[in-house]
Amino acid sequence: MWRNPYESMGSFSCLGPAPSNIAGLIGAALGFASPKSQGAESHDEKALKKLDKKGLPWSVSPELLQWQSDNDYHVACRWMGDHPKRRPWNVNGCKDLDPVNDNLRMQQQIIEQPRYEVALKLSDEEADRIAKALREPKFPLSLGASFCRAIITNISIENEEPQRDNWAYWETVFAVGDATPLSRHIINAEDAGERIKSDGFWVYPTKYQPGELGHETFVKGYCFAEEPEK
Amino acid sequence: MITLQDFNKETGNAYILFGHEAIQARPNLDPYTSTLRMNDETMQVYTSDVHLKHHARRGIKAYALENELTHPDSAIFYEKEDEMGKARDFATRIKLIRESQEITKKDENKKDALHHCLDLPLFGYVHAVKNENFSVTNAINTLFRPVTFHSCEILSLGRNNAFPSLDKDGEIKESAGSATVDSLEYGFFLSLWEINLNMLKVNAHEHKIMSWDETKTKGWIEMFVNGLWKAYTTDRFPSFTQRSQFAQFVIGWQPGSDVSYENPADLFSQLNNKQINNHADAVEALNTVLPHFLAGWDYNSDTSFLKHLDKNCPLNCLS
Repeated sequence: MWRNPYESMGSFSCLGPAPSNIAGLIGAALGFASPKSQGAESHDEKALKKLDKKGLPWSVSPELLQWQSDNDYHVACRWMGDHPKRRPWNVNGCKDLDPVNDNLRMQQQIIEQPRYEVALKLSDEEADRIAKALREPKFPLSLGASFCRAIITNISIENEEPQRDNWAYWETVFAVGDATPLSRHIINAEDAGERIKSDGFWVYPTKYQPGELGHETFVKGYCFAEEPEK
Repeated sequence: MITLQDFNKETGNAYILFGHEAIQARPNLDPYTSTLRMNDETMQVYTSDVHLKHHARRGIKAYALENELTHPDSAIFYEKEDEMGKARDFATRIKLIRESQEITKKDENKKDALHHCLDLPLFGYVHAVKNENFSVTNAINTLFRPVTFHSCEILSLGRNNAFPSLDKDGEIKESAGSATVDSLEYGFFLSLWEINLNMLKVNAHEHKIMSWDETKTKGWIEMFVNGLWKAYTTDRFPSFTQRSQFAQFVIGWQPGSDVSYENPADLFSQLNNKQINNHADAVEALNTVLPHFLAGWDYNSDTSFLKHLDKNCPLNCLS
């Protein structure tokens, strides 16, 4: 269930993850907890309130932001499934409780039988560490929502860049095909008052809708925001 | 009561495979179409994870009350309606928990629900209250959707309600009072649960009712398994469409090596007779296909910490 940040109800899944989603998976494997989650080892209430005031009630783990910046996080992803299908899936998703009428329920449309190949560009040492963490994740790994558990198999470390073949590619203006908003964590989120920025689309080629040739395999998975005007 | 063998690991994943059968039932209908959820190609019937968790919560409450663990009003957080069926909002629910646990105003903590209810450390929740917000990731969830491992026979059955209703002009509605519904004749469901042991400790280590130091991993998994079992045995949901569902077996293990990640739904492809209509045929088929499935998941006497079978479920492959 890859939620689309442009869709207010979050009910229709994108075909594949955005770079920020994949970063989240890596963070969960490494045990980088969001400051507002129970998994965070300590809760600095004063600092959390400060983040609230800056418009970040659900901020990203500072360790994960640091990891992306330190490792110049570059990522590639491609759809490995068959013809993409979405399935209506009802979640007891109470966005709110209405004591007069009834609970609000959302019907979510999830991806059926999702399969992806993900590539990360890392140093040898870091590649070893990430591979180990993905094999023995510290926190549960999910495909965008906690009710969609992730299964990670076939982890390998390669010295060659993968061939430019059907990887999701970046379109900065508009996209044809099954496109995921190219969302990335903002490293200096506290300055920006936003945790994620979407720049164009990450288009997932499929068997029936192949992609364009010639695109770079990897995209830079993080970004910086300029400080908002005072 | 189901008891686990000594098991107190705090890292890695553990797995629970729960088998239950539904006979002439309508489990977990799609609320928008009021039909059974099924794979139209294979005729396998499935449910959502939310559905099983709902019943597990009922069973956990029954288990907690039987063992006098806590107050009935604070055993389970997700009771969204009161006894009269009236919806409760989030704030009312938290207030009730604090009252039942005699938490005074000065001792109130934003994590009171997490620290007192038994379901939240297992299934997680989002405390979406302004200036207090925090999230708790679930420690346990189905890995795949719970599903029958075989094709099912679905019958269309007529229903006749006692009295038709009137329309707005006071006229009797022509079609009111009766309906045709789909009914699952027989289904043996398999649900595979994944427990992230680190997350369980993270969520439960400050619990006030189930002290982590005393219960540890074993106590929490035991409570979950007993709750699940009770929900499909002694404390079955009483409605006409849900009550004929029965727990058959539950096993638990922590793999010591790589696993196949095979989905129980895919056992379908190994069946000679895809459609199964009764208990005896289901048990016979499981005795054939489960050994290979469980070997792929590294279930064996060294990795197992739980095995409980209903007397009516002679799965020789588990002995």
